[in-house]
Amino acid sequence: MGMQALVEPVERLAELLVMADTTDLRALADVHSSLQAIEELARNAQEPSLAGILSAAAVLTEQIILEEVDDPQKALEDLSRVVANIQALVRDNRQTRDFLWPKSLNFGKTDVEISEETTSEDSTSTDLAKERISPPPEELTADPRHGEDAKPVSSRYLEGDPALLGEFVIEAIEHLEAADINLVNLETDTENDDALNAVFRAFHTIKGVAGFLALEDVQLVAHQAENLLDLARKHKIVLAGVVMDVTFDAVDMLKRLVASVKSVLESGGTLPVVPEIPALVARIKAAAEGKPVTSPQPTASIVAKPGENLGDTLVNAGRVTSQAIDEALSEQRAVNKHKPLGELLVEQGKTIPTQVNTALEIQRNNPELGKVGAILAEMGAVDPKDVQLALQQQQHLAPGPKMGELLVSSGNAEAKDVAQALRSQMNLQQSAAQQLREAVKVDAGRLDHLVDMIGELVIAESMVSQSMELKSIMPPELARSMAQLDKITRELQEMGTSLRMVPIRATFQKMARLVRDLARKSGKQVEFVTCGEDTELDKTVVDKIGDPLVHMVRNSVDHGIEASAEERIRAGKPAVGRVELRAFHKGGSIYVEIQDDGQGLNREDILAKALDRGLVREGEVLSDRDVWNLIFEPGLSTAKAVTDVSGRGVGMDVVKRNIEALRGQVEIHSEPGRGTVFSIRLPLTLAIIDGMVVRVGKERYIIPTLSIVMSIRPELRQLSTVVKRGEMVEIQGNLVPLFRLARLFSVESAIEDIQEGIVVIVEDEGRRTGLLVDEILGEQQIVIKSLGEALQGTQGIAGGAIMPDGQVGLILDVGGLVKLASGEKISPVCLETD
Amino acid sequence: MNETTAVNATSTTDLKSLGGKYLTFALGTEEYGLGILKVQEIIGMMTVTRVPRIPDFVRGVINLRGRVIPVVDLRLKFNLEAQEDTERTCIIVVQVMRAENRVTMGLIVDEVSEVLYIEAGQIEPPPSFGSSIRTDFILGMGKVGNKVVMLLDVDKVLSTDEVNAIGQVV
Repeated sequence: MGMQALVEPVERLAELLVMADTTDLRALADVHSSLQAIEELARNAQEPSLAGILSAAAVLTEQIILEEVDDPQKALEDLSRVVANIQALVRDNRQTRDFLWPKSLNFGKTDVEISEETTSEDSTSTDLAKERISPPPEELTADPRHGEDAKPVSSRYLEGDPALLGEFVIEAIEHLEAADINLVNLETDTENDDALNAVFRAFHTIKGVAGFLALEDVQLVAHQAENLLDLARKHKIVLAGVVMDVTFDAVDMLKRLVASVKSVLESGGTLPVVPEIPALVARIKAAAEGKPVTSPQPTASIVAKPGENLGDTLVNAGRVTSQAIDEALSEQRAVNKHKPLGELLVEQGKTIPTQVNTALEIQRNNPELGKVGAILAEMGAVDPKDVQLALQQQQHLAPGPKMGELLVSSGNAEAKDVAQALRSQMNLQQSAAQQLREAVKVDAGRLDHLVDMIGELVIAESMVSQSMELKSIMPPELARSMAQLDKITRELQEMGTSLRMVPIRATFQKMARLVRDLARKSGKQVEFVTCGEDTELDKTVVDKIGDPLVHMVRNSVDHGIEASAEERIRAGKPAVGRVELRAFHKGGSIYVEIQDDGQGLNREDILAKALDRGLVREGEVLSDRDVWNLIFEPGLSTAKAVTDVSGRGVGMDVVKRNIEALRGQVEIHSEPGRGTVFSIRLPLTLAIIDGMVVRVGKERYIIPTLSIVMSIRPELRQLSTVVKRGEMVEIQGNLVPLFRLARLFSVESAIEDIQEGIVVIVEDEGRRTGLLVDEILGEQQIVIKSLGEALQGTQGIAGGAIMPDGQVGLILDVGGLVKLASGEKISPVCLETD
Repeated sequence: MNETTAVNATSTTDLKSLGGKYLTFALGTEEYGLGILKVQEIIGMMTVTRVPRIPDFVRGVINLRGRVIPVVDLRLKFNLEAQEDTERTCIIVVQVMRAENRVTMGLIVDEVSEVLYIEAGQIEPPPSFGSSIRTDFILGMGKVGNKVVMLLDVDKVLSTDEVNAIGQVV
């Protein structure tokens, strides 16, 4: 039956395809939805295998849209061929057995005979496509009844092609990270279909690929999760609370499994057996089975269906007792939709439940009085401002009272994370549907090589264009060509630098998940705000800033934010803590800041600890800044209790080291009771800096312009000596220690008379130092090169740079230089004089 | 003066396995040999940027097609007297194993001679001068015609400690 009904839509689809182009996303999207519609029709027409083919074709279309295929043009041709075949099939009402599936497509998921229709050099997929996989594509039907038994896994070895497996690992990790982000979004915005579909697609793709790579564990978990998500997509369940947790767990499990695949790929061995899988699968199933039809609960009008589902799934998942659900249900029935406001207010400690109930009573008796918030304010039970605040928060809750909320308020469930995530979502939501940036993936090594070569080209180009011989004979035509070459080279250089720049978004998004987990663990309510996610940083910086940020965000959540909401309210702050992460450009640097509105750093505690550790001496006078910087000393933690997350005193010193390794600096601003700001200043790019080229004797050195405060030709009255050894120069009324670069670096034939030279005042971590050089040669942009492993870490030298004449110039490490210089001086003597 | 292949070869002290091709070079009156597989290339002398606060035998760094590599003055390293560079002074670029990593370095030598095939039978174990003279960086003594070539174990010449030291000595 039914094939006839397909004829027309398939014809239309074929027409669409003819018009489609790989770059025309709109047309491709039409094709995609058309394929899905026909798939639905086919399934209704009892043609599961045809539906399978269509579904596979839809996946292919999706891949073309997302640029996941190597050769979109060819994939589109293949797709057209598939659709042409479907057309013939439907028109002639033939059997799917005859279906010709292009060999080059690696969708071995259909139960159709694969004929070698096209010859393709795409060797990676050939083997897969040849395989005839039956029974029918259970994974394409997304029907929870299919294939969900945790089959014992027979083989623990990796069977798939290593290259394919490698690609799978990379893709899977990306998908899972995207899923994390989208789940965090979904937690507040259950109606966000884009995010839901994205998560579904992540599981779907992973499952599909894992299927033909014979990664059974991955496939099993992904399949279960996909089913769950599919139900959510069809609005049969709501992705919230425990269901959400299960989904997060599935993502985590998949990450773990993928990680083990990766390690097996890298170092051999067999896949470990993961004993938790059956339990997880059971939980996912339990969550998925919370269907209204099976529910014994009467569907009273007040009880919203989603709420009921959630309750069932909670019980099934073994998270709460059915008694608790019943209580919550009756409560849910008892109140109208405005109840959450009262809940919120009670939760925040703004009022007490009896007040809310009274207000509700009044409202029920006098409907004309209006909203609970107004009544409460009228009663004087709460501050109108708090009502405003609660109303604002309420807006971010999904419509209608939810089982999750009620359970939280009754203290039965751990949905605090729901509330927390709701807030963190507020910001993520602004960046909307999280358009996943798709890009061509290039091996980082090649990219570096390209950037290096561009640097070389720039130097070679300037050598040619500056050539005196050439200039003397330069005919006008050549001059024009040279100018053109020069322009192109500059553009190429700019492009080269920008290639390495990536937005910090992904790193920030990871923090959102971290804050969610941390807040939940420590039982705090934390609102997480990010801004400036689009700020671009050098790829290396983005990669390396992650760990320090994790530490600092942990610190902020764990002991920045007060332990309880009451404490916060007592301090006159909102009950919900706030952690803000922002990135922005300022003055040639990039700043990444973490701000919390917690209790701030405790000067006395830090000082006591530091005294204890012998880091400061009794009676020493320290500025706030010095005190705050003490927390970067190894072994100093002021956390009262060592928690799972932080407080062991390991960390902040590492944070500082990591940031300094990126040529960055950390500063702390803290106000007791108001919160703390960690401000990380990073160079715009790791590769290129502005440098001042100076001469000392016959040597040239480069001083990073950013560390230079000023340079002066000193006059005699500005100079003074300390005990005939330490030299000082007076700058704007301040005495600054003066070091002769020539002496530090034992350079010969440099000037001896300070007045003949130039003093460059440099600043590092707020300390000013004067460096005596012979002359300043000029300023230029330089590409930083490592001095090679052997010379890495030479004190006072940050690296090398290729100068325009092809020689190597050395870049001074101002911080190291200052340490080097002051290490040589007899510092106690210096302290005495002024 | 350019380009030979560059692959890392394992060096064993087993004399039998020492037969093979060596790049020979002169330092003063002495002739030395380096396993050809250790050599990346030979370049002419170029301006070396002095790096402060490192051991004397490291002359400094050079720009090798955009990479910055350190160069070691082998004369100073072997405690021979320093000598002005001549037209024949060369830098042999070698790959040294440092712990797990391969480090590219330049060796400044007086003059590069030739590539010799030295049979295992022509190689004798390094002489022992007792503890006063270090010979552990000599793989063996190759007898070619009437001259003797000291075959160097470049990984040991710039032993791990020393390669590290280059970076750390203040």
